[in-house]
Amino acid sequence: MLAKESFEISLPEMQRYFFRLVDDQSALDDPDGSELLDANAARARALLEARSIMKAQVDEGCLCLGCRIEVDNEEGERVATILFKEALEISGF
Amino acid sequence: MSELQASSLAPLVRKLQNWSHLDDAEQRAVLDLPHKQSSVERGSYLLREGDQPRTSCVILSGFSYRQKCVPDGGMQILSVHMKGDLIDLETCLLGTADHSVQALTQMTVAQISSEAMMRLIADYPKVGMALWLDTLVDSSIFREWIVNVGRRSARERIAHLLCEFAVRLEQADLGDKCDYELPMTQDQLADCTGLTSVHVNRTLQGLDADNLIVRNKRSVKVPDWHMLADVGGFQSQYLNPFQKGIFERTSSSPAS
Repeated sequence: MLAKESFEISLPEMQRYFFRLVDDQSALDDPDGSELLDANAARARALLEARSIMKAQVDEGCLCLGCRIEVDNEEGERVATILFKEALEISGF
Repeated sequence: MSELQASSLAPLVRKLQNWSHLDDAEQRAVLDLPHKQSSVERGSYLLREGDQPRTSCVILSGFSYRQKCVPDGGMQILSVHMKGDLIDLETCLLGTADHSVQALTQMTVAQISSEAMMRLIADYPKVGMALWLDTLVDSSIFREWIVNVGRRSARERIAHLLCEFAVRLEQADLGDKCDYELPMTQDQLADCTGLTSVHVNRTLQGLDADNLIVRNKRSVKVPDWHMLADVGGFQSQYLNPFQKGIFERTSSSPAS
């Protein structure tokens, strides 16, 4: 039965963080932001985002190690910066 | 007909009429289903995995999505639903929910008991057939989504999703496929397509830069439908496979 209480949600208090993709020429602002638990979670997310974009770049045949993900909180304070070149270990060259 | 449209279950009749013509008695039987109307807040659960609901929900307004979560907290959105859609018809038969359903926006839903649905199907086989066809179209959509996450590039995935959502909105009389509101955040688009939020943002920006879409907040305009459809490998046939009247051709009692 779809009980009344099943409509209610109880989540820990979340913060909104904005993930901006920056390269040498341009920056891609994040209009929506993502709700995450805290700055540590935001930093972990930024690492995943960086790796995900790098995967896409590799698929496209052009990897930009100079790119970075900048993470701001709702107050506009920078809480993390993930440099692509630091987001993975590179060996064998 | 205005009396039919005035009933709160009119969106369900309208949806089923996409799949097969229902006569007045069949439409009336659907509209007369005993039901309870509820408001649902954005983000709330209509169904949780493991629930054993005794009702099915019809969406009267707003949008919802089916989802499954993995142990690390990641979510895969499995499908998006809109006005007229039956969210959990299968739970009438399956008993236990194998996924969760959450409200994407503020919603109004009508809850119909499983018993009432089963009676309707037994008493009005053509309504039962329409419900079956409805679930078949749902499974066609799932197949496209599997191809999306399995084989399409990010650009193709997003283009396909935008095309599919547009055609479904138009089918439900909720918008124009070339000019509509997309009620999803980047995070939610990412959960639909197996991408990440920044990747979705980058992909949308790429589509925007190529003038395949024109975005303004949630508004999506499609300057050239065929170009966007080509990028997504989108063919709308699976969303309306009965347009040539297959049901009428195979029915023993043709529509009056």
